[in-house]
Amino acid sequence: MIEFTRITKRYRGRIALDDVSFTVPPGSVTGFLGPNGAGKTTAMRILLGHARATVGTATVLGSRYAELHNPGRHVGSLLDAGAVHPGRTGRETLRLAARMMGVPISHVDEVLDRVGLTRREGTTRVRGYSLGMRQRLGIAQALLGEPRVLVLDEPANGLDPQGMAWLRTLVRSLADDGCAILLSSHLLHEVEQVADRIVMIGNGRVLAVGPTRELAAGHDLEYLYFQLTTPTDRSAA
Amino acid sequence: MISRTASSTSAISISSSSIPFHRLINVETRKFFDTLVGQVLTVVTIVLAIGIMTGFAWFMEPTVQGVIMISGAVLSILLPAMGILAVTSEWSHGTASTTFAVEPRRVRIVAAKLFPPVIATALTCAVLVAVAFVITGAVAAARGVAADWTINPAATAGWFVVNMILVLSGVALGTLILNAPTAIIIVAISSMAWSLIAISSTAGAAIAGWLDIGTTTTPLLDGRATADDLERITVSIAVWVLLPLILGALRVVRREVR
Repeated sequence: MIEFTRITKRYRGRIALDDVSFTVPPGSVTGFLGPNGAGKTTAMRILLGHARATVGTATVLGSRYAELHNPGRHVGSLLDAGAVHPGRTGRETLRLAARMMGVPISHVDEVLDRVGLTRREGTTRVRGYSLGMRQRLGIAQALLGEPRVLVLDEPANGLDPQGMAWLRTLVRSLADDGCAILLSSHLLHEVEQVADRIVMIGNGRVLAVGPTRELAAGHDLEYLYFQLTTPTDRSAA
Repeated sequence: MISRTASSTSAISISSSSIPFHRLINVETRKFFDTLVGQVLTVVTIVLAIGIMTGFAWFMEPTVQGVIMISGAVLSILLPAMGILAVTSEWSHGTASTTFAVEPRRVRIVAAKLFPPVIATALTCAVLVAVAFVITGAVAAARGVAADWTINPAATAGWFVVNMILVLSGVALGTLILNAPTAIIIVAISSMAWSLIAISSTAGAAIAGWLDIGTTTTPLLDGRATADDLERITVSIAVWVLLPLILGALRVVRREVR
């Protein structure tokens, strides 16, 4: 599970995250919502140790990410589908990750199948991938270590409608198997269908946390979103 | 259900061990050779070196030792560049975050990244020594002159060590700057600057005699380094390899990754 405890992040006077606390329990999909620049990605980067919190702690499975041994076996993450070397094939990218994590190389073809990348696409250099294919590759890499926790930053971005339906099913079935999943998105209808919990932030602050159905309370998520956020929540800058 | 899951996940995190260091070296080496930069740079280095070696044998003299040593004209430029490109690649392509997600103890990645350029350099040296014999024999036969097969083991070992120092200086500077074009420009400018400093005055020559790797390592290439020479070599390595490497490692460890 994932725990953010009173995280504040300051960048030279600008406050990116302001006293953010929430948890993602096992067996749940937590939808992470908020306007551009609200701090979603920053929170995820702090969780994975890419950035340091000014105040507060973020833990995965009870430890700081950097203290996990071989974290890829416990936590799968996709923050930026572009963070792949364009000159490598998708398959080679996954093989490198598999070697590093000590996962059998046979897993590589399994996850490629699972995310719907064909053999031919797998042996194509990533330079030639569409955004949707890059997202699938990133999700494949996140799944490679058979993690119990998933951190996905806008994984639906660039996916075609089939891809979105597939992602929804995948994420739901992983959560039903006990995974803790934190998923950010701007696609409110998608999130509404898949997330059992919602964390909404704006301007670096938590605006709402709770079960999706209770928060939406008779309306839909879009209604709640526009109630809680304003254009000025696009932070911080 | 949930409590079962919670207990099983905590059991996993306790039982798993860290990634063995040899695996990191293995993966970093593969990453170096599976991309165009690693492949092309190694091949280009060898091809250009062979070119200048053949030219030397043809226009100067087909002596195997001379043919080996002349490769330094190419290696002294390309090996630092190879070291720089090997360690800056992750930052140019924005893949550092992916790598650190798998091994968040970044200093281990910095350490593992020392190996591929060193391995590539060792391979290059081995290939060039073998090729030097072929070139010497072939050119001597073509010119109808006698080949000189004398090898100076000390000078050849010195050539090998200098090549290692060159590639590691590139690695160190690359780790500190984390940007290939800037680091390569610094190398180019500093080698020009040192040749100016060395001839500018006696004081300049004295400084270069301690700090310029090109100057301090010359006795190694002659195969007769004295204790005084070794002191100068150590000082210049400390300044151009160890210091930037340590500062660079600190920078990588502390840096926020995009």
